[in-house]
Amino acid sequence: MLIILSLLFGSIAIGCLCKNIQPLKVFSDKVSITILLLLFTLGLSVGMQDAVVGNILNLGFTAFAIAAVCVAGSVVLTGCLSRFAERRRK
Amino acid sequence: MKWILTVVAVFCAGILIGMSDIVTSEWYSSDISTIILYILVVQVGLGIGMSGNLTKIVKNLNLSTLLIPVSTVVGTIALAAALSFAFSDLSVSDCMALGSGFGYYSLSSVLISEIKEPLVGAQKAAELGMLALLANIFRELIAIGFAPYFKKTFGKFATVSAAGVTSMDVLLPTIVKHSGKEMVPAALVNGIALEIVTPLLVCYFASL
Repeated sequence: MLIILSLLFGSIAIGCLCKNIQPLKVFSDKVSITILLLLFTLGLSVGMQDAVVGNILNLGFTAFAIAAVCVAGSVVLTGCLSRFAERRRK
Repeated sequence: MKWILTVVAVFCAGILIGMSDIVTSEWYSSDISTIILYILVVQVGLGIGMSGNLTKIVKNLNLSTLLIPVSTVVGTIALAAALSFAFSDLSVSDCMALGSGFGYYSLSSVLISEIKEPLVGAQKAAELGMLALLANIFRELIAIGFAPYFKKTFGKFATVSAAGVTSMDVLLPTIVKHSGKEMVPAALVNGIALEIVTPLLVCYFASL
């Protein structure tokens, strides 16, 4: 975790300081290739685990429940807070 | 939509190849994905730093624009934690890590599986990575499909909040269509703030 956070903050700082360096810009623009490579490796590790593959429908249901509940939490709280802020402004 | 389909196709190709005996476990080591993950984190960081978005976020900073990312984070994590009681095989911190993706499926899924592997083993880590990928793809689809309902029931800021990280790119046209053009600055600030916060929260909750 420390390595990841150091890399993140270090690269944000480098990005701010070296905005006009073309090779760095080209490198950061290739992010979608890296994402696809990573997802392919994640797929590989999932495929190698027979128990995970066998449980794929259950995982899909759990994932949908998590997504629906997370969206509900954020829209309800945002709706309440924005109504409260609007009332206070009036 | 084309990008989501590509992501799903590449992920499924990985699963199929993993299921076949083309790649053996001796041949494939998790160090490969760790190195690619570090490259991705550097690319994301450089992208944030070079885009000038940090100055944009500081310029647009006021109470109402800050309210959306804060309520998105608090609302998402609070209900994700509450949901953990419905699943016996997921801990509170697991559910909070899964919710903390805010639609950033690529980064959150890989971060979770990488951080979890030494803690819970390869099988559980792969399961959590897959859950993160699917949950965050579903979040994007729900935000697109239910945008008119969210606007009508919870107000114009709700479409931005539901979108999470994708409010600044993929879902921006949907937000403009249903909540109006005046939502663009708030959608950008929300997306940028969540893009910065996502890796921090995912790393934190996954390591608990």
